Amino acid sequence: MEAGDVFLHLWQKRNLESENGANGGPGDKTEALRFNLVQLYYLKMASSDIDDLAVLSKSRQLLQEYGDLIDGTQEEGGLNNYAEPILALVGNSKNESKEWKCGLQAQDVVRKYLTSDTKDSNPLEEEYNKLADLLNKAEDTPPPPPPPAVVESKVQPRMRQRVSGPQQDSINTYPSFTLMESDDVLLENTEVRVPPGIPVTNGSRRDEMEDWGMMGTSGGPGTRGRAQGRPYPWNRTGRGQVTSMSTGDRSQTTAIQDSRSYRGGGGSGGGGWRGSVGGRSGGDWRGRSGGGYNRNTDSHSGYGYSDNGWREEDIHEIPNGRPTTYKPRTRGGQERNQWSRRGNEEEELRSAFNTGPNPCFKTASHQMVLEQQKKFGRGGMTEAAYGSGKRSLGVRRSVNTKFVPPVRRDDEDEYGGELMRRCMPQASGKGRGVDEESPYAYLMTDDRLKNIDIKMVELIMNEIMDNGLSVTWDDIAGLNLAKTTIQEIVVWPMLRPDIFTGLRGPPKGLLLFGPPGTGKTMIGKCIAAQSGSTFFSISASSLTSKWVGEGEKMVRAMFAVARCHQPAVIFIDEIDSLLTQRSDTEHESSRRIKTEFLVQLDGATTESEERLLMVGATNRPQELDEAARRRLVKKLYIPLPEEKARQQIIDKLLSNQSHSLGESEVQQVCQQTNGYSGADMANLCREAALGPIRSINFADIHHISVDQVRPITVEDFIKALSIIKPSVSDRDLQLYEDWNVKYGISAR
Amino acid sequence: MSMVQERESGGQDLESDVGVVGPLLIHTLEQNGISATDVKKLEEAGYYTVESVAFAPKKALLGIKGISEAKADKILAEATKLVPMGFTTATEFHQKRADLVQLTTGSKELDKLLGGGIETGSITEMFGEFRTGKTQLCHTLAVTCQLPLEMGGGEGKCLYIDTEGTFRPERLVAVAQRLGLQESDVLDNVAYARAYNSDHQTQLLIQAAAMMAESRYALCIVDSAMALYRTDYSGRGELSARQLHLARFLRMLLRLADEFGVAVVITNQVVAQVDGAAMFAADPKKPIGGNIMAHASTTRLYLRKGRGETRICKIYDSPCLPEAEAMFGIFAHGIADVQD
Repeated sequence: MEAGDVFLHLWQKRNLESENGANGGPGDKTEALRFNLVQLYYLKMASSDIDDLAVLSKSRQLLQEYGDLIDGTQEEGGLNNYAEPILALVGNSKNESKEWKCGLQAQDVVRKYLTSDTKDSNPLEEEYNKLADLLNKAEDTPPPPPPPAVVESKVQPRMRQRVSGPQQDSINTYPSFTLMESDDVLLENTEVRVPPGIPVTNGSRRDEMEDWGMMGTSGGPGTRGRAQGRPYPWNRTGRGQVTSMSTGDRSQTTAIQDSRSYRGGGGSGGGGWRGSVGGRSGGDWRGRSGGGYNRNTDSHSGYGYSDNGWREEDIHEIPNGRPTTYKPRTRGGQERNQWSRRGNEEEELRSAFNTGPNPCFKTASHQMVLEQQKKFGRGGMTEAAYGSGKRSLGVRRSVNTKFVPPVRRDDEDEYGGELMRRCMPQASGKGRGVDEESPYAYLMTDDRLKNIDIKMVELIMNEIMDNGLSVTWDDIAGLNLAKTTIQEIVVWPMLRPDIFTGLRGPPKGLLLFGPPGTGKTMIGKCIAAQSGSTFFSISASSLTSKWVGEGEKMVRAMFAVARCHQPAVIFIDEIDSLLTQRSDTEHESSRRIKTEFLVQLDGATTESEERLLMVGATNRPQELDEAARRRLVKKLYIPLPEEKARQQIIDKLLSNQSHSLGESEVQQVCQQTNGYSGADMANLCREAALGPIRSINFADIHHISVDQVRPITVEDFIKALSIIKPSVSDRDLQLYEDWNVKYGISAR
Repeated sequence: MSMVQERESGGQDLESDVGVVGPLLIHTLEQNGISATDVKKLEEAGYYTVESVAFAPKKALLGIKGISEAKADKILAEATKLVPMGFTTATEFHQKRADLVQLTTGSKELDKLLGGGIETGSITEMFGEFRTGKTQLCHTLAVTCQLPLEMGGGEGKCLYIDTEGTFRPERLVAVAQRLGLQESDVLDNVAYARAYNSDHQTQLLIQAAAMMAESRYALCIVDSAMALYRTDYSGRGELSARQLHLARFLRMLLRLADEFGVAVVITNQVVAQVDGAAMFAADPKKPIGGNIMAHASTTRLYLRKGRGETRICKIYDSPCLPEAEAMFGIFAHGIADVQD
C-alpha cells in the first residue's frame, strides 16, 4: 500500500497541476496529461483496490483532453504539431483577397518559439544560438552577448517598429532615401556564415527575383508602383502574404513568412523544435530583414545583395535535413506572385497612395518648419525644436482638414503666432500697404485728406500737443491787454460760436512779438491749455525735408489735418525763420514753403467759417513778409514787464521758497530791476536763491538738512542784481515800439 | 463646372449657407443601386466623385478590376442621372457664368484685364521668361483664394504642386499680413507637394482628387508644369511620348477643374527661337508644350518684365477677353498695383 500511497500522492499532485494548467502553454499541459495517464496506469498496476471502471473513465477523460490539445487547431489551445504543413499549404491558398489577414499574430509566434520547451535539450539549439548571435551582431553594430532563451518583450516592439517604419517610408520613398542608405550599409556589413552541409536551393527563387528586378528597372508608373508598394522580398518567394500593399500590418506578413518557414519540414519533434529557436533569433531576424529589405527595394544593387543575404540566412534557418519541404511552397508562391503582378498597376499606385493620411502633400506650415530646420540646423535646443515636434504629432492641422477661414485672431500665444515670429523676424511690424491698420487710418477716409500721404499725416499728428502743461492765465504776470485780446479771439468764440460768426468771426492769424523773454511762448502754452482746441505746435524742423517739394506738401498736410480737427490752433514759434520777406536771393524751397503758408492761411480754397487760428511768436517782426503781415491780423506787442508785473513774478517765484522778504523789500528790488524782462527776473530769483547755499560751509553740505538752509534775504537779491543784468537793450525796444505803432495794436 | 453650378442652385435650399456645395461624393451612388463594394472599387481606382464617373468614358471604367461591362453600364447610367450632362440654353449658362467665382490676383489692374480675376473651373496658363513674376503671382493667388467671396477670394484651400523647388512659405506669410489674415491658418490651408519627375507629377494629381473630395479647395497651382517634362524627355524621338504624357496630365487637370470647380493655374516656361523665323519679332520667345499645352489651357497670359519692379501681363489667348495689357508690380507683400 505504501507504493500505492506514493503513487496516489503523485497522481493527485499532477492532476491538480494539469487541471489548473496555469503554467506554460499547451506543451506543458500535454506533458502533464501524459504524466497523469501514465501515473494512472501505474496506480492501477500498483494497487488492485482501484476500481477498473473508474480508471477507465478517468483515463478516457485524460485521453480526450490530451487528444484535444494535440490536435487542436487553435493557437493557444493546441499544439497542432502534425497537421502543420498541410495547414500551411491550405492557409496559403486562401490568399486571394487583399483583405485576408493571417490569424497568426506575431506574439503567438514569439510565445511559441521562445517558451521554454527548451528544457529538453535539443541538438539544434546550438545552431539556433549561433544564428541568433549572427543576427544580433548584424543588428547592433557592437554585438551583444547571446541572450538566454527567454521571451524578451523587447523583441516585439522592436520588430514592430522596424517593420512599421519602413512601411510608411515605402510609400513616401523620395524623402526617405537617407534612411535607406544606412540600412544598406548595415546589411552589407553582416557576415552571414552558411553552416556547412546546407544545400543551396535557389534556382526557383532566383528566377523570381530576376523577374522582380526587371520590374524594378522598367520605367514609368510600373516602377513607382513597385517602389512604393513593393511587398517585402520574402513575399516574392511565396512565403508570405503577397501584395497586401494597401493595408497595413506588415508584421503579420512577416510573421506568416517566418512561421511557415519555421514550420517547414516534417514532424521531427515539431513542438520541441519550434520552441528551441534561441533567444532573439526569431523576432529579430524577421524584423531586421524586414527592415533591411524594405529599404533596399529601390536600389538595384541593394536588391541583389539583399537577396543574397536573405537567401543565405534563409538557409541558415533550416536546420539539417529539411530542404525537401521548401520547393513546393516556393512554386506555389511563385505562381501567386505572377498573378498579382499582372494586376492593375494604377490600382496599386492608387492603393499605395490611399493609405491613411496623405504622405506626399504637406501643409505649407509644415514645409516652413522643415525649411527652418534645414536653414538653422537640427538639434538646436530652441523653441523651434519643441514647436516642430508638436506639429509632427499630428495634433495640429494636417493636409486633410477642412478649410479654415484665415480670419485674424488676436491670441498670440498659440503656436501659429510663435511660428511666425520665429520664422519671420523681420516681419514683426505691420506691412505698409494702404489697407493697413494705421492709428490714423480713420483720418484717411476724410475727403479733405485724400490726396495726402499717410506718412505725412502721421508726422503731423505726432506734433499735436497733449495738453499736459496746464498753464493758467494767472501764471502770466501783467500783459492784461494781451490776455484780454487773446481771450476774445480764442476762448469766447468757442464758448459762443453763434455770436462769433460772420463779421464777428475770429481772425485767422495772431502775431505775438516783442523782446525775448517776455512770455510769448508762455502765452502759447496757455492757449494750448485753456482754449480747449486741438493745439499744433510746429517748428521749422517739422516742415522741412530733403526732398524737393516735400516741405510744401507738409504744410498742406498740416493745414488739412488741422481742418479735420477744428477748432484748431497752430502755434509757430520763431515764425520769422519761416516767413521772412520773399526776395530773389533766397532758396527756392523756402520760397515755396512761404507761398504755401500764405495760400493755406487765406487762399482760394479756404473758407471763412473755418475755426483755424495760427499764432506766431517772433522777436523780429520787421523781417516778416508783408503778405504774412496781412494775414496775421492781430499783432500783439508783448512788452517788458512793468513794476507791478515784476512784483508779481517775484512773488510767484518766491512762494515756494522760504524767504524773509517783506513787501517793501520786494518793491525795492522791483524798482531796481527796470528794464528786466520776465526771463531776466526769473534768473534773478534763481541767483538769489543760490545765495543761502553759498553761505553754507562746503564741508557741511553733505549732512545739512533742507530746513537748516537759511531763508532768502534781500541781500541775496542785491547780490544777484549785480550778476544778472537786463538782456534787452533800449535800442531794440525802440524798434519794437515803432513797429507796434505802425502795425500792431497800440492801446493809445 | 457648369454641373457643379447647377447643383448649387438646386441644392441651395438644402444648404442655406453661401452655396458652397461641392461635387457629389461617390458614396451617393450607393443609394442608387450600386453596391458598396463596387463603389469602393471605384474609389480605389481614383474616382471620388460622381462627376468623375459620369465624365469618364466607359473604356476607363472597364479598366478597373472587378467592374464588368454590365456593371460599368449600370454605374454610368446612374451617374448620368445624377449629373446633368445634357443641353441647356445659353441664357441659363450665361446666368451661371455670372455667378462664377473669380479669384483676385492682388492687383486691381490685372483683375480688370482678366475681367474680374482668375476664373475657377478652367485652366489658366501663365508663361514668361525668368523673373517675370510667375511664381510670385502663384504665391499671391495661394493666399487670395482663401479670402471670402465678397473680397474676391474663393473661400477654399489651395493645392500647390511645385516642380522647381521655388515654394516659399515666407511669401505666403507676407501676403497674409498685407491682407490682414491669420498667417498660421493661411499656411495650414495650403497643401504643398514637391514633384520630382513627370510621373510623380501625375500621381500627385490622383492624390489631389482624393483630397479635393474631402475638403473645399478653390485653387490648384502647378508651378511649372513643364519644367520636368523638359528634362525627362529629350530629343525628337521622345517628343511624342512627352506630348502624350503631357496631354494626359492636362486632361487630369481639366477633370479636376470640371469636377470640383477649382481654378487651375499652371506656369509654363519659354523657349528662345534662335532660327530666323522670328528674327524681326520684338520678343522671340514662345511658350513650350506645343499645341497640346496651347489647346488645353483656357486662358494664356504672357508676362514680361517692365521697369524696376513692374511687370506687364498680356492676354495671349482667351475665349472671351480681348488682347490687352496690364501692369502690376511685385512687392514685399506680394503682387499689387504699381503706385506712381
